[in-house]
Amino acid sequence: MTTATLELDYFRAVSLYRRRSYERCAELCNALLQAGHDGHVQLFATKEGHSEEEEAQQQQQQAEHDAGRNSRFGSNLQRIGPRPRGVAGAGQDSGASIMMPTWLMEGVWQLKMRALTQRVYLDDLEVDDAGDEATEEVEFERIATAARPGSSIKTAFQPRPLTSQRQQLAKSRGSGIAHSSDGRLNSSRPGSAAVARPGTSLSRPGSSMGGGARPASRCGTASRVRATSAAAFNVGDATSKLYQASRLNPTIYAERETLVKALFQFLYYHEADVQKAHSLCQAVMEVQRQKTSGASSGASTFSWWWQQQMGRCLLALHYPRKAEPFLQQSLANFPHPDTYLLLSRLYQRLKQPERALLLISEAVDTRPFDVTYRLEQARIHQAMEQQEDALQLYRLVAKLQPINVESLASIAVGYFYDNNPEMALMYYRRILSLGAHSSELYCNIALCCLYGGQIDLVLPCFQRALAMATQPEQKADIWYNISFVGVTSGDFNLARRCLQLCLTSDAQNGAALNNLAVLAAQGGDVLGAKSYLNAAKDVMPEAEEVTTNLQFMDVHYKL
Amino acid sequence: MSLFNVCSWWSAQCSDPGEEYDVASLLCARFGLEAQEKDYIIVGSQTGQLSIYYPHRRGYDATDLLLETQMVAPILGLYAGKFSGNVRNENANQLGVLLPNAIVIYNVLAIGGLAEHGAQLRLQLQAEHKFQRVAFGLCQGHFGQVKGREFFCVVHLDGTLTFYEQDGISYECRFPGYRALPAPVAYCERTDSFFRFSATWDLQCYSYQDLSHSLVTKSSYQPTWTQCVGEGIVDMRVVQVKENCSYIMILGERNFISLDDNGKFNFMLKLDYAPKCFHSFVVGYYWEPGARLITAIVSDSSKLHLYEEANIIWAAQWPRQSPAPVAIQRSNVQGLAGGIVTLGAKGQLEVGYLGADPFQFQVQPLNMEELSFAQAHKELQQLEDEIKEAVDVRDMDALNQQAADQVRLSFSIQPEACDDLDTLLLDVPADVAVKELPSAKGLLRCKIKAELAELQLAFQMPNGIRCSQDTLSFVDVAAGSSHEFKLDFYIAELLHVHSFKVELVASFVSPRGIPRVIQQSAHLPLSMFYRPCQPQKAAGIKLTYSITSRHVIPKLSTFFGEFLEEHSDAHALGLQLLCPGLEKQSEVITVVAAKNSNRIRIQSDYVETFAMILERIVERTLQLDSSAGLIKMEKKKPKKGVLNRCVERLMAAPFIPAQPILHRIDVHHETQQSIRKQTEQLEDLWQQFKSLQRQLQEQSEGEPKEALTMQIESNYDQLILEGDKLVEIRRDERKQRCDLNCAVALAKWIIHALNLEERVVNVVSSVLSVPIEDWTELSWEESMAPGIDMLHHFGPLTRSKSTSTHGLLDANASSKDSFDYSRFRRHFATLFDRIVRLASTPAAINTAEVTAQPAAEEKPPPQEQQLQQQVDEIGNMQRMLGDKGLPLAPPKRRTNMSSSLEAVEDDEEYDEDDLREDVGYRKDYGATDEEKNPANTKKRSEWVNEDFELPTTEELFSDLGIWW
Repeated sequence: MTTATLELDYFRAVSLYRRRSYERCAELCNALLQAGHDGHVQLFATKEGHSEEEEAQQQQQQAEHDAGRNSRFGSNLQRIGPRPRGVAGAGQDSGASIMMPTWLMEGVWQLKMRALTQRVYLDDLEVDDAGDEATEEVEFERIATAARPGSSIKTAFQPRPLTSQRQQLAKSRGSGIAHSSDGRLNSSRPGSAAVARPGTSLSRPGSSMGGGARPASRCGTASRVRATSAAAFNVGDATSKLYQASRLNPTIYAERETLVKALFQFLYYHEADVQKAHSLCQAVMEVQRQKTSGASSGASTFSWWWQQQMGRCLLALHYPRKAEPFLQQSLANFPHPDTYLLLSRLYQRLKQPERALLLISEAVDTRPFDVTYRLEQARIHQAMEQQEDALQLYRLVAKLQPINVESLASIAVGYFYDNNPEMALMYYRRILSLGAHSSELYCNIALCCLYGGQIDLVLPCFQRALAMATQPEQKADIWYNISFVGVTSGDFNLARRCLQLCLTSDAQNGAALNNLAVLAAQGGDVLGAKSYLNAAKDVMPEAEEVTTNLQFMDVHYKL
Repeated sequence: MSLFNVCSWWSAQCSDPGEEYDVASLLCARFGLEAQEKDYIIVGSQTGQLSIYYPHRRGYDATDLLLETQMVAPILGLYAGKFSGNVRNENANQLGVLLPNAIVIYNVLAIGGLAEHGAQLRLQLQAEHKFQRVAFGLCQGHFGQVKGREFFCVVHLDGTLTFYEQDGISYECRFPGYRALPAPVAYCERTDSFFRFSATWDLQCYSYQDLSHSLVTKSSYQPTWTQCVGEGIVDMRVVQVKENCSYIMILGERNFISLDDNGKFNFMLKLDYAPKCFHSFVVGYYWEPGARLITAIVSDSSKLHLYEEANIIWAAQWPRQSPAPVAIQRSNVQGLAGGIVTLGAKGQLEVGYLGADPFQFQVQPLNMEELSFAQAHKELQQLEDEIKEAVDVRDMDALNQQAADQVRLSFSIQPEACDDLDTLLLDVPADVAVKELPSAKGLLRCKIKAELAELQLAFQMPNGIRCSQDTLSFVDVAAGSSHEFKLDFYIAELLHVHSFKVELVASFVSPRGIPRVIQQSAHLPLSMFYRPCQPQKAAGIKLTYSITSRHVIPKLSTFFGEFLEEHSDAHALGLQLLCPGLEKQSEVITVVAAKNSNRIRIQSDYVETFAMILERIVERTLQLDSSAGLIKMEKKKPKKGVLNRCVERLMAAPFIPAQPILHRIDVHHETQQSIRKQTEQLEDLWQQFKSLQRQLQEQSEGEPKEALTMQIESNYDQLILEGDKLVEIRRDERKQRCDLNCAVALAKWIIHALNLEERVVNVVSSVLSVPIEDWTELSWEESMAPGIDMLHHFGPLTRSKSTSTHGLLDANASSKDSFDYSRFRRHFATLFDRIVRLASTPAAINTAEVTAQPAAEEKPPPQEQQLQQQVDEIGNMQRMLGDKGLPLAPPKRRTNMSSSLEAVEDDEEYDEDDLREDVGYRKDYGATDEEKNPANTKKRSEWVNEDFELPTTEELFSDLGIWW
């Protein structure tokens, strides 16, 4: 092993990173890190004894420049690295083992960090936390990582759109239902005339499905992706202790400009430790503040990037008001698309969708053909329950970018709820022909077929959906929707079975419990119905349907 | 858009099929070898394979490969340009091959082909520049805007640049600051400057002037401008789009970014896919108007997106779901202008074009067999049957039988105790090991007949006893496998043991998810716990059992054979309890068999000694009797009024040593109280500790801390002290719990053999269940209180019917919050009283009848007859009692009160009430229901549950409206 071979290995690792083979890149990095560890290379130690003279010479100036910093932090910085077993400097010029240059070690360290980050990277702006208002206080993990709540429970009671049902859909439906029923066990009566909203399943997640390498991560399985695979990847990795976020002291790294941004992303995206990422942000901004005051130039303001990340963290930590000034400043410094989207998300969080619209239209004015902003506009309109405007915008997006699955799916949903399942089917088939085939899509097609009268296709589509479903939530949703086939065809036994299967996949499925209650009540088992309803009530205390049904039972049955 | 394909025009597999290709491994260039030359495609792998292709027509042809050679080192990049000054042909380009430690410049020479072999190329070494550091990439261009020649600079992994101007001039640039990840460097000819992507994710622009001068002046490198890109980049390219403007196209990890050469952002497009590689080019000539800037971006899911500036104009899919290419170029090859040349990571080289071939997305056919309805119906039926079978619990016996068939267990414990226990191996505590107590050996054989998903075998032993393997778990057990385990049972704690029964619980789940449980039990040898000693003449507690079964010889050897020599007819046996083995007292129990009668007397001063002896007597009698097979103890639901069937075999004298038992309860309760007190005290101390700590925290720097620290220290010491005390009390409590266990078990065994109604026995036994349990929130007394209370007020032991149940319920409700120990104790005592009194009354009749025929023992046949008769009589009487409710009360009351207990001093209703038909949980509270209209009574009989089982939910619910 010579330095050259080490460097060549490093090159290979970089090349793998460039080709997006992050796993292999990380493996190679592991080997290198292990080698460096065996050679007692100190990470982030002072750079004094560099082996090559020319470097040392050139370093001189820099070393002086950095001297203060290094002596202050040098010892601390070692804390993250593997502790050198012997005297660290001893191996420097002994020819016995090849010394890995410190810069190389650091490079490998950073490369692996980047690779790990990229591997699980998930655009937090694609994550839909619209439904989280109620759980504003819950910690970050549940929100940002729980990608789009696949099928929010709130969307229950109707043939259920798989992923990505907006909350307002539930709301609007809820209001529509209350009076559409004939009294008994009203809305929840499956298959009653009440509006049946099919899935927007593909709406947003789908947009990446066609083109992205991470379709799975955006379809509501992000938490899984991160929680399991990211962790599992560290198992058996001897160098994993180099990446322990818990041992990291933000103030130490804040001054390492070359590293700190990557570190931030690692913390935020890979470790999902927003708290830590936030404190890193704070430390960096503190350093910047000191610098500007010291330099007295005054010209250099904070970097927009850090302001954006600060806003991102604060938003994720549910401090939208605190995040606002940061994002505003960042936007004033540099009009990054992410900043626009973050701000828009923030205004929606603050229940000021008009303001969000205003902001986005600003961006749209400068870049009228950028679908990113158009989509955001449409989403805001949808969140404001302005279906017409939203659909208009989705159509525009579909025109600008005919492969945009989200817009297609949203239009399809629009048609479906407009009692036009045939048109919806057309759009879904278009999505299918784009190459995106997922269990949600098949499920939606099946629902369209069911309501469009193409009965022969219903069960095959559901079968396909079931065959493709991998997550228990998906399975639960599909079984739930199949139960509607049973209900529409009058085969209540089938419906009951399906709902029970749904419960085996997801025991917390309140909608299924509620519908089971209705079916039980129809079968004459009032006590069973009551207990199902109570179970449903436990799962989702604020659901209107359950409450109504319980009240109905109280009134009409002596229990 | 993506309905269209990228159509393949020409494709080849490069010589190295491994994953050895990168974005820099592909080069499309001309070398100026002939007049009408088109692009050559050069591919170099990281294993050192270099190939040059020259596609001639559609489809790959062997003659398209013009050169294939193996380099000595990996090829990191391929470049073409006018790298050498001394070439004759001005149009000629040289090929630059970047190796890890050198850049080699080759002249490419063409060799005309003979016949059909086609042309060939040859490489002629032009120059080689070696360097120390491993290279990362290369940036070439007309540095300094020289015409006709190109310079290049090598970007090293550590971020330094080595510039090579021609004729051997070279110098190195080292940028200040740390450099960790290498990133490409691009050169813009228009402004003669370099763009470097810094480690802080900024794009920095350095002019060539500065870079070349700084070496001389050693001034620090100051970028002309810096722009924050804010993300890692995949690749970067400079394209001149207008006369006065070049664009820097950057493919970021998330965005597609374009800046002009003055550092102004052109656009920033958020990508909703993962980009892999890209190529930007200008269609038309930049000096002419109408030149279009086109960018092709390949996504990770093999889609090609074409943008004009930032607007998408086309998207296409590679037809096979092949992995996305790692490098893309646009090239004019022979026969196809503007072909898309792509290179996959494994060396798949392809020239394609954007065809109008519709993209056919083929959904894989779902492999579904034609559904035969009959078949499906049959399967469904089968499944349903299985489900039904699995969840049907009506016939528990059959289920258990089936379960026992599936897992055949044979569990036995050797009847002899042994002494060769390996105390070290089994980790017996030293204080126990010192005593050298005997242990027992057990053997468990299990044969699994059906496939099981999970199987767990757990042994349940009384406190203090341990098994060498107390839980065994298996997963995915194959059918037909069998296991055998040798087990050691030994005493691990010096506690009073209340039972010598070891229960084995086998619970298993079949692959279909059906759970079953089977139980078996075996008995530890008594010699593990007792050793024989001198019998005692007198003792504090005396119990008497009379063996009424004629199959059991009322001799000591029947019951305690292990302690007696064979055929010895000793009538008294003294046994000393081994287990806690305290120094001060030897706990001796004496068993005396009456010489001429069928009675056995057990006497001891210590309550703790009884439990196992009684258990042995009762169990052995029942066992011997049922093995004789006269009366089957079939598990029928006991009917009301039926006498305890145990009595037919042995009967205990109606006496319960209530005082000692209550004493044990008292002690246990006191300890519970003191634990609670101790915990509270600890809590207080802990609060104090915390507040002191907080004070210390809040104290400002200047103030002296000594006083506070002293306080904290003393507080801490106290905390530890009290904590130790608590541990001590807990240990005591454990001992007392075991004592109480023994006491309760004693009462239980007596009641088991009392002459009472069977259901009474069952109810009381189930209330007095051992081992007792203490919870942190609820002590045993508190958890028992409602049950005892219930027995007190309702059920067969009710005192009188005149008591208003309504009021009692209210009292119950009020006493729910505060547990009243004295009340509990009183109830407990009266419970024993009543049981004894109740038992002594019918027993008196019984004994009276027995004494009426004193010769019963000598003449078996008559006795049998008589027994039969007796049973009948009792049955009849009870039935009569049951039917009518009251009539037989007076005679009963008249029966002799021979027992040592005080006479029944209760009012007349007492007995009637006991035997009233539908005593149960009383439903008719208050005076309103007194009339007992027929409807009401009917309803009641529906729900009143004589067996004292919990009412089923249906029963509960059907009556809820009235009851709750």
